[in-house]
Order: sequence, then C-alpha cells, then structure tokens
Amino acid sequence: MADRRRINGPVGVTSPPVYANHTPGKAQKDTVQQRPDNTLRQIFLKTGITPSASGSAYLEVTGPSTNGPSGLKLNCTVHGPRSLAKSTPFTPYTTLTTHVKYAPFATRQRRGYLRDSSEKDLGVHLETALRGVIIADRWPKSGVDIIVTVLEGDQPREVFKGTPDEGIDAMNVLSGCITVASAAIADAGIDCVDMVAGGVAALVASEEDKGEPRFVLDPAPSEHDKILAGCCVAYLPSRDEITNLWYKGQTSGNDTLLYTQLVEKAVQASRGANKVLVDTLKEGVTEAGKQSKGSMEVDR
Amino acid sequence: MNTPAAIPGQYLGPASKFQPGPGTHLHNGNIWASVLGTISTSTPGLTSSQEQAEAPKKLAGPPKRLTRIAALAEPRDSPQSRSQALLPVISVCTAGGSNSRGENGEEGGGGGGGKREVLPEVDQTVLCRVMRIMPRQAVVNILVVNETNVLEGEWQGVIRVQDVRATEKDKVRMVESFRPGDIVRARVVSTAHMP
Repeated sequence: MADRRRINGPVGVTSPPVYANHTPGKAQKDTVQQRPDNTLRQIFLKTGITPSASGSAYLEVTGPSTNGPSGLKLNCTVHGPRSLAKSTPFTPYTTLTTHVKYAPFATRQRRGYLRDSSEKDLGVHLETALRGVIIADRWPKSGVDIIVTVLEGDQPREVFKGTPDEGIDAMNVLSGCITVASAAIADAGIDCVDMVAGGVAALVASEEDKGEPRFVLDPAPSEHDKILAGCCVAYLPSRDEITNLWYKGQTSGNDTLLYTQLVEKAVQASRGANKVLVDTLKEGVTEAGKQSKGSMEVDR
Repeated sequence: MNTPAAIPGQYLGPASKFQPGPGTHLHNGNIWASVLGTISTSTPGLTSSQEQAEAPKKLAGPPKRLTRIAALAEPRDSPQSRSQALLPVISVCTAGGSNSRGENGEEGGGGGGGKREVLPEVDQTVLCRVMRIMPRQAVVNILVVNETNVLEGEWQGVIRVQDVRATEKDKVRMVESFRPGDIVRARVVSTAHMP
C-alpha cells in the first residue's frame, strides 16, 4: 500500500549531479578491480556514536572506485535490554527484534519510508545471525531492539558494465549489518558467546580470464562482468560456528566442492572483518579505561 | 595501570582453575568472556571483612544466573562446593561502555563495574513507585535495585495483596495500603511470570 502519511519524494531514479571533470571514460576505468582477489575492501568501524542508545556503532566500507564517495555506510543502534510491553506474553529469554532500513537516499532507486519486503528479509537474516550469538537467558522478560540504517548502499553512481545484481548487493549489506550490529551489541554490554562478523565471497567470471571462474572475497558487483554465485555467512571465529548462511548462484547443482569452497572463502572474509571488529573494540576498552582513570584523578 | 581487555568470545581459562563470574560464560569446560570490558579475578572469602567488601561489588555486576543457581542448589557444607568456593572468580567488568554512559557522572560507583542495567533478582531489595491499584494487587514501577542501581528503563513489578504484610493477611485492603505515586521499599519474592 502506498505511504500516504508522509510527503514522499519523486518515485524513480535520482541522479546526482555529474561534474565536468567526471568523464564517462574515467568512470569506466574505476570499475576495474584494483585489489587482489583474497583481500577485503577497507573497513572503518567506530562504536558509541549515538548517545541516546544503549549501544551503537558505525561502519563504512570503501567503494570500488577510489575517487568516488560510494561505498557502504551503516549506522546501528541497540536499545535495551529493556522491559517488554505489557501485552507481550511471558518469556524467560531476551526477545530480539531487528530492523534494517535503507535511508530514502541510500541507493540509486529511491526508497520509501516504510520498510519494503527486501528490507524485512534482511532484518530476518540479521535476526537469525544474532540470535545464536546472544546469551538470551541472561536477561529474562526483556527485549533488545537492533536498528540498522543503511545510509549509503553499496552501489556506484554510474551505470557499470556488468548487469546489476541485487543479490550480491543485499549480501554485502547484510554482511555489513551483521558486523556493525555485533559491535553495537558489544558496546551495549549485552552478553554474547562470541563476536559474530559477516563475510561475503563470490564466484565471478570475466572476459579477461576467458570465462574461467574464480573466487573473490568481498565482491563489488561493479568490478565484475558476471557473478555466478555468492555466499554470505555470519561466522563465530572462536567457536568455529556459522549462525547464518545465505547462498545464491547458478553453479551446477551436484558440485559440492565448489559450494564448500565458496562457504570457506566467505568464512575467510568474515575472519578479516572480525579482526577489524576486535581491534576497534579493544581500542575502545583501553581508551575508556584511560578516560575513567583520568576523571578519577580529577575527582581527587 | 594496564588492565587486560576482554571481548566476547575470548578464552579466559579452564573451569577447573576459575569460577565463572559476571560477564563470563561456560562452554565445554572452559570459561569465555561474554561482554566487552576488563578482566578481573578475585579470590572469594578469605576473611569476613573481605567478603563483605566483596558482596556489594558482586551484586553491582550483571546477573550471573548459572553460577548463582549452582551455588545455592548445593548445600553450603558439601565438600564439592567448598572446593569450588576456593577457586578464584574470574569476571569481566564493562568499563563505561559507550560515551553516553560516561557522561552520567555517577561513574565508577561499583568499583569499575560500569553503568549497566541490572535486573532485580529474588531476595533483593528494590525501591518502586506505585502506578496502579487493583483489589488483588498493586502495579509498581521498579526504580532502584539493591539501594544503588538506578534502572534506566521502566521495569514493572506487582505487589500482591497477600504479600503486603506478614500478619493478618486476610484483612489487608489494597486501597488502604498504597496510593498511586507512593514509593515502596520491597523485597523481590519471585521473578517468574505472574498473571
């Protein structure tokens, strides 16, 4: 149903202004893959950015083109544990609710203010990924709300050479959502068994390789001619467990080796993201320790 | 002072050498961190004064259901519990967490315990405000747990008519006992579901 309560912007594609020095030829060059297959794009992560939330985190992944601002920008806030509404039935566990919402300006195709089916689907995936991580019986009768806002989707401004692949875009967003939510949950002080992190791997084919498929970690759809299969995992490194697995592709059905290889590559990508997560959180703990120590000295 | 930091999922030690404290969990006979913070170990109950100093600190931390149940389920004198009690307690204290909680001023009240929502547990004392009076029960909002832990959110509680006082329970009338807005000091009798 159409959203009648808000003043909606024009439906359809919005094009940002293209400036004179931004020639199409140059844009074409930007979409060439500039990193090795087995490395991730750069990740920026910061926790504790929303003061009113119990915990929060901001994640940024650089876009495929080095001179463009496009990339993935995610903001996550965690509210709770807080008491549930009176109408909810009794539960001895923590009730987890996840919301994933694209900002209206996040993608080329303008999004509505209400969550559509793809956003709800991402929310369900995120909930599955996090449910296995949170120790739910530490907080009985209480609820935790996790809200992820996609400030910028992982899409370049220009129309790129390959065909747009909604699945890989959604996988990249989901992987980012898992990582940023994990950081925000840790920031909120909610008990977890491990730090979960998302990772994406893809099987791509391009003309340069004469159609020979190869594995790529953290794929950017604009860099590849054809993406045969993609896999997104939510992985717990110290337990060696996967809490959520999303596989999509056109590989031959009986090729289980290819399947497991792709999952392994996605796990490898997740380990990379986990390293960033651990470093950021440890940095935050030592900084907080220094700050509280400093304030105590002032008090005396 | 360089306190070791722990992140959820970090290995802390075998369960044969430590007791799991707040902010930790047991998995496959090992103790792992479950919250972000700094690691601290304490040896329980050598002298009574130390024990008393330790007690409020422990309560200030997050609820540790598993260990609490295990400790209370066994009789105090059993040799197993005694040997368990001698093990040092390893715990992870959330150190302030996000900036929002650092600004609240009341930092470090619980010995670096950080400001974290604490749920009331059975036998703890709470301060609550009466919201609604019904013939059989009064609905209250729990404000403070254990004298010092001010709750951020609104947590609801219920005072039943039979729990108002110890004697002449059948003569208690709810409307004569409480008025909306009263601050009540109460003891938690149950955290289970009450319709």
